[in-house]
Amino acid sequence: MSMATGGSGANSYATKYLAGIGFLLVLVAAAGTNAYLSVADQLAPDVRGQVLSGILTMIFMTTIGLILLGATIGRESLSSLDILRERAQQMERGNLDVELDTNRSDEIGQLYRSFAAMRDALRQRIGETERQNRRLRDTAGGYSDVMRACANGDLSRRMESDVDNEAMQQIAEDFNEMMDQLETTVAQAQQFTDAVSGATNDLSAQTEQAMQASMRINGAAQEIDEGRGASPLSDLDELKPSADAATGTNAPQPAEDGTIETDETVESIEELKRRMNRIDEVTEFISEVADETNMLALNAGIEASKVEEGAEGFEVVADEIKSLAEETQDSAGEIEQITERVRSGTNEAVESILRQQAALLLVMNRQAEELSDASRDLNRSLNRLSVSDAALSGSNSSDPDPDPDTDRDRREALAAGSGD
Amino acid sequence: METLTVWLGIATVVFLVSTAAFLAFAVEQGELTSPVFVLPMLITILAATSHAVMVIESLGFLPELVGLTEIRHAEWLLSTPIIAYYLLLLAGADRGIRLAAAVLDMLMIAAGYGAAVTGGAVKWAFFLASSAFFGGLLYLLFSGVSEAIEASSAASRSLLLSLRDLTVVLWLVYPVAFLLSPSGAGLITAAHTTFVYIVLDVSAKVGFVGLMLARQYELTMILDRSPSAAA
Repeated sequence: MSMATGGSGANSYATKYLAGIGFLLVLVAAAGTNAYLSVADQLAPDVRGQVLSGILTMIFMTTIGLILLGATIGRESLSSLDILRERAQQMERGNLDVELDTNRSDEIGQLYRSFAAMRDALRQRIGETERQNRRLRDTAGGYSDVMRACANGDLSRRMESDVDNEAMQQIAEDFNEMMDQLETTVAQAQQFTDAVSGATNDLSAQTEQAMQASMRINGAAQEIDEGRGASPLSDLDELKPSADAATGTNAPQPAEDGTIETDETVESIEELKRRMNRIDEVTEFISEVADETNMLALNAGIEASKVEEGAEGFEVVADEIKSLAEETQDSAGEIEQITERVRSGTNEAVESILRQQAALLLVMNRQAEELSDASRDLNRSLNRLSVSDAALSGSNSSDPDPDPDTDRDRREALAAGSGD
Repeated sequence: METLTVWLGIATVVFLVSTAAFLAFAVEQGELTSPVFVLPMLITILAATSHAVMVIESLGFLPELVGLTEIRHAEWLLSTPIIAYYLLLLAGADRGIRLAAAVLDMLMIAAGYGAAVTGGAVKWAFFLASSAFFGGLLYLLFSGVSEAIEASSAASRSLLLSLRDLTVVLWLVYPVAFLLSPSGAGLITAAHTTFVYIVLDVSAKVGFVGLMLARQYELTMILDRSPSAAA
């Protein structure tokens, strides 16, 4: 009869409707039967026939009326439910282009319009969500690029923190903070290495100069030995004051221009040592603090175990303090190790410099001694020369009044020189 | 004047009014030549005519041979095939099926008339034949409309199903009335039988046309979508 494509068998709308109609007909038939039987006996056959016919006709009318009702309004309701169910299923599957047109103004028409409004709202909401997702994907892509750039060495890049999503904003801010700190730390490390590099370069240069100075002295001493520089007397005179200066000293003091610069190098290394000591003090302090915090945590733990209520929360805090203290101690230990390595390295550097200096000083000392010997020899030679010269000039000159003092002086000098 | 005459007169008027209403609708749509708009009017005009003639007959102005049964069946022979044909036309069924339905319908009515005017075993033979034709017609109507429902949109589906249900279920009442009538068990008088037929006729035909007029929006959707409707 009426095709119910929706509900299942006994539960369907159509079945219920038909059951209602059937029930009504049964009632009417019962009423009719009742009416007929109540008068049947009292009537003449033809009248009885008329009454029966009349009652049956009424039942026919009822039937026809019910058929009209069911075929129009009943069928209409069922179809509308079917249609809306089908449309809703399509929307559920994701097809939001379903057609929901109607020109009815009754409740069913309103239902259609409500469905249509819901479909439109869903479409809009999904569109917005997709747009937002696209924006977030783009932002995430941007973050990815920034991280890659930083990993490749460009520490100046930062993430865009002005985004809708709270979680992503937090990520961006944290990352930027981390990069700021990293950039600063790297810059400081760079400065430190630059300073050390500079100091090392200075040291190299100064050592080089000292070497050159000693080579010059060596060369001069050699020249003196070979007697190359002995020809002009003026040169000898020039050499004499510096030789005197060299002879006059008792403690081994190398040439002046080498000493000051090496002092500067040692000075900067000493500065480094002082800094190391300071770091040492700081790490010691951190260790002390860590120890105290640990003690505090232990105490807190002990106190917590005594108290019943709220012990758990207290213990959690105590545990956290404890782990924090351990971490701090670990960090302090690491710093100590690092400073120790740097210090030993520095000590080695200082030692090597001092060794170099000592070697340099020995060389210079030896050269100075040789120079001193050479200049004494030179002095003796000069004196002998001047005596001879005097003797020569004295014998040849018609000096009327020879100065007995000068003669005496010369003789003493000669004696002093030869008796050396 | 018998009350039956009054009922027949009322029926005639109702048929005429429904014809006029549908004519107005057709004029508004601007389609007066298409079978889609002509056939429903033809149905109600035929019904109006037959009932007017039945009024005349009840007043005794017609020759003895022509009784209500004759007039009735003559009209049914013409109007009911049109109803079956039109229903399948709206459903978009093939021309062959439509014509087959119309033919079965005419055979059903013819056999029904045979059952009405004969007696004894012959009557029941005619009755069974008519029922068989009716069964075949029902099958065509159901399958034809079901196919259309599968293919069509939701709105047109509702109207088609309503029209089909109305027609099929009401037509099922006719044989029941016949069985209870003086031709059958004789539980209902001739006058009451006529009254039942009148009500059935009006319900089926005016109901059919009235339903289409009440749901014009859906009707236009059906007519817009099915190209064979214009055939």
